[in-house]
Amino acid sequence: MARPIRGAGSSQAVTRGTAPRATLIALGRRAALGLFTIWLVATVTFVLVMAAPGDPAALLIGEDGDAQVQAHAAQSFGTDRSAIVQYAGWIARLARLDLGTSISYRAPVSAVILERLPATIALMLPALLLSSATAAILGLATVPRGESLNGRAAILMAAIVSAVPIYVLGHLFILMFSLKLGWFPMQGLSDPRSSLSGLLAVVETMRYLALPTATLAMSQFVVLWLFLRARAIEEISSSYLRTARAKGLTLAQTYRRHLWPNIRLGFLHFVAARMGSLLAGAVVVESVFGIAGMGRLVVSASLARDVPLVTGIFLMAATMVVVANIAADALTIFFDPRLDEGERGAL
Amino acid sequence: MDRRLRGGFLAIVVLGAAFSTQAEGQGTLVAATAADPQHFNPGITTASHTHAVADSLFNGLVALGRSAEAVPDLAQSWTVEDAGKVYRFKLASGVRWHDGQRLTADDVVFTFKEILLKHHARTKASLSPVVEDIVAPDDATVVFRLKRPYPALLQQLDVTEAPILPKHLYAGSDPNTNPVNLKPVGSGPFVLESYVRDDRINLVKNRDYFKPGLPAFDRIVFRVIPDERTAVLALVKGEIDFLREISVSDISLLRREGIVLDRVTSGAGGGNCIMTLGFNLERKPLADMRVRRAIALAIDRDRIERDVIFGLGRVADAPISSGIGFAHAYGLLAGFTRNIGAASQLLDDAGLKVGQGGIRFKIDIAHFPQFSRYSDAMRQDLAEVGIQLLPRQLDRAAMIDAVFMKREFDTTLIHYCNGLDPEIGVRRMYVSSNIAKVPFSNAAAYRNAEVDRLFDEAAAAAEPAARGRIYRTIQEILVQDLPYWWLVETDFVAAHRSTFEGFQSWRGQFAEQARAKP
Amino acid sequence: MHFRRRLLVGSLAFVALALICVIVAVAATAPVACPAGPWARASAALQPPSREMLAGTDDIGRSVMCTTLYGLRTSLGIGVAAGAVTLFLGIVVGAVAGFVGGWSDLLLMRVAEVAHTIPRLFLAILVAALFEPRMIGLVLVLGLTSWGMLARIARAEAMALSAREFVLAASALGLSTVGLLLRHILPNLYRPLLATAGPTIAGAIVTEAALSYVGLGDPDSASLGRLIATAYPFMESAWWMSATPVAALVALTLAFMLLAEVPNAR
Repeated sequence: MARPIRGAGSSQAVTRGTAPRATLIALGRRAALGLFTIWLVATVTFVLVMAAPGDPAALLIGEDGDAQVQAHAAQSFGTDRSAIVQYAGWIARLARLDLGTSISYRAPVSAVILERLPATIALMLPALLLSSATAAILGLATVPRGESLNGRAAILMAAIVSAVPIYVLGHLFILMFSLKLGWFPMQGLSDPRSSLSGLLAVVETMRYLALPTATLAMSQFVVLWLFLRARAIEEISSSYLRTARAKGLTLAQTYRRHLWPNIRLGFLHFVAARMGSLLAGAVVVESVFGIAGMGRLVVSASLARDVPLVTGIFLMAATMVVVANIAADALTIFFDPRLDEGERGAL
Repeated sequence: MDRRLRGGFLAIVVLGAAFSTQAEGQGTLVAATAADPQHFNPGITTASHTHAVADSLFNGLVALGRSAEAVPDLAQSWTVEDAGKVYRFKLASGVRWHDGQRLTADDVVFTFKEILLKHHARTKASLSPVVEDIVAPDDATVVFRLKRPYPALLQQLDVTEAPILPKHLYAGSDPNTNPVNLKPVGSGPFVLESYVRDDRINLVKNRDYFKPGLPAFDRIVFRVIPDERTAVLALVKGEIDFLREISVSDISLLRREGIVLDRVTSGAGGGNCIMTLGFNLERKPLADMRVRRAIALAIDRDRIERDVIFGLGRVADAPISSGIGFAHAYGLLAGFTRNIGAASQLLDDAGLKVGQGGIRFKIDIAHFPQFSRYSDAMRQDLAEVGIQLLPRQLDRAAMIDAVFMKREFDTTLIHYCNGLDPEIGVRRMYVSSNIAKVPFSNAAAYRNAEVDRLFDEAAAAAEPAARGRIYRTIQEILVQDLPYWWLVETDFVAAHRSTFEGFQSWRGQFAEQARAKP
Repeated sequence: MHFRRRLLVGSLAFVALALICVIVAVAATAPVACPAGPWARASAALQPPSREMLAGTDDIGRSVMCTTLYGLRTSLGIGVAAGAVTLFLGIVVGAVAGFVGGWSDLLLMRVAEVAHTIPRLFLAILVAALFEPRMIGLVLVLGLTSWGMLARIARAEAMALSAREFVLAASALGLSTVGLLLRHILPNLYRPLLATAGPTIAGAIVTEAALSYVGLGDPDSASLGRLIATAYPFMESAWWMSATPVAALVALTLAFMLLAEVPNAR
């Protein structure tokens, strides 16, 4: 796996003395870059919609069925004007966080998405934490065994499991842990027969999230594990590690004190870069386990050709990826401002 | 960290298990539905997902038994007068809407005139030409005056075909956009408590329901589970109790697990269904009757019956379903056994020669995703005569848009349900007046003045025998013209846990009389 | 001593390469083993594996072995097509950015970042909503969103190279520097190439499977994703219908995922 490359056009490394202000500047720059990225994504989206068959205005705003509303929308959107004006109008609306009206729901797209966002986040966040924690632990643990048969066999088995389509995996989990063993429920986020509140409700939600989270985590963790292992292998031959070993530290201590701090930030960036893949997994997992989140919403919206809603969710997803990358950058800068290399960006 | 994680994990499993048994509600039914109902107005749509939930919130004038006999619902009794041209319904007393207002004959008249006859595809198509007027001489009486005797009227007055809506909430509004559609007020055994879109719908018992002792359930929760496998396994495990329709491949599994299966061969409005291939007669080369005939001869319907529906149905024997005994023209399609040679000959005659790659021409087929196995089977059959079939899987809204609004399709696969009388679900497929931007109307855009006339004649005739003769003539013409190709009649199977009883799976109000076994 | 060590360390890579060779060979035999194509009906439906039908038949009576073989070809094709687009774009854009520098460098790298950031499945779903689900759309979506990482690396190599004398000399002499550049940076790129190609191809195959499951796959194609999705309702009643294409998909995905391990064989 290649290291993040230090760009030739990087700015001066920041000195520790002016850390807080420099941190803010660096963060500010990240945020600006992030906004720029989102703007580019929105532009790409607009180009796609224009290229698609059908009236772009109708596609982007959504036909309300009400002729008056439509006329008004057409006028404010400017379908009678050139593409550039339409584009400007659309970007302006996006800046106001106006994502149009959903055709199938007859409600503002932003409201519909916000309704479904919590379920997706409740699913993705634990899965993210679970998969990265497991990958980190296993990644460091299997390095010394990387050359032995056990290590390779374990990697092979894990890779096989992660290559199985997520919904097949989810279904097998349901068969085993829900149907046969009865440990966990297999669909939804709460028990329809009872209404709990407070702490009990939270515990209940966790039970319902167990299988979907495990499925999602399972689909992610092998890639994370392989990345970490590759990075560790690269670092192992470095001199500073040899020095540490020579000084008499155990393998575990060496890894904890010297190896891990050097690879954890790269790992963090890699995890953030996998956000898109995590979202994709959420789409499938939500369908299998009957969870009403954003992933399932985008699918039913696409089947219904509800373009405003699909576009809105797409932009939302892209924003989430950008935010994840910025967060990773922010944590990097926080931990070690020296690593702010300017041109790193999200890659 | 490992040990703490493990401990926490165990705690959650144990706690959760403990709480779930304790919190099990008495009298709650959990049903699964495959898609979100979208709204709760069964009067403006024939969509099965909407009716699956909304029908439990309303009533019709009559209810239908398993053999399609009419029994009282909102109407406690009725008389037929004037040689079948006048129906006088006496409404049950003490019926109240969920908001407390009294239900009167005015509501019935309003619903028919302003909603059903304008927006409900099947009811509009069949009743509009027949009904002269509907009046309410007093609060508890509704009189239907018909232009001519119409024996099928009662079968079309149940909650699926003609749900009664509250006038005081719908008068003066557009029923398609009225916000009451999302906060429905009905008269039915259950009241909508909450609706989390695409997730769950909570219904609670209507304590003032006009039928004493009903319903038994305190609440019904509908869970939206798009994944069929998960729904079936949830039924086996007990996370859900009722599944309105299961696919054939699950029958043996569910039987093994002791789940009660209810095979429904006919049902109100949504029964007696035939999987039908619709030709867009406005498109070449389908406008040529020889091409349509060739397609009909190329498709192997026996294999569809065997491999696609696994015997849960039968090869269509006539354009009208065998479930409507008096109208079904037995044996009319018997001559259409698969004949590749004849099909190829017809295509050659039509001037469509075999070209590059062995293909004569390409046509698309628009259909719901769950029917893809039909189109897979047909695509193979048609490839053998050089027709390339391009499947287009569309969900409900996209399908309605493509087929009925914009008419942008070559062929389409529609599960047309005939209902209990040809007037309900058959007429709408063939009469030229029903070529409209209405979902599931005359998709083929078939125009035949003779057929139009015959449908009117059949509706007017009083005796089933006489009507049957006319319907047979109609079907003979249809088989000559082939505006559609009738593939297979399908039955459906509902499933529920053995701890419950009393479901009426053929009715929209499937749970009105159901309860947990004592 | 060295040689044996290399084989041991690179064993995973060896598995990957071996798998790929086997898969390609097997996929190539599809037209020979099943001359009637993937849609042809062979026997009664839902038959378990037997001596005539090694993997049984599916719900329409087709041989599962045949449909899987063809599915393997299709999925392999999808993956390779997406991978080719990715590799081409990554190398070309990166090399141009690194060599030319200045504004085009800034712009191209920003574009690369955007391409890398876009969530692929969601873009595929959007494209399906706008253009109806078709395989070409998926291939383009995947190819056009996976080249960012490679471009960055290619750019670095190009920049390092452009400062070297022989390039400057060639440029002064007016010789074609692009070809020169490519010829020299390509050998250095084989590691990141493999590291990128592997996950890209695997990702393409997996994304296609996910799309087929939710109903947004290309109904016209016979890919493994579609096979698994149509076999899903029969997972309990006819396990062979799912097991065979899943095994093929796992082998295919595994092979390409492990491809990234090849550079680790030192």
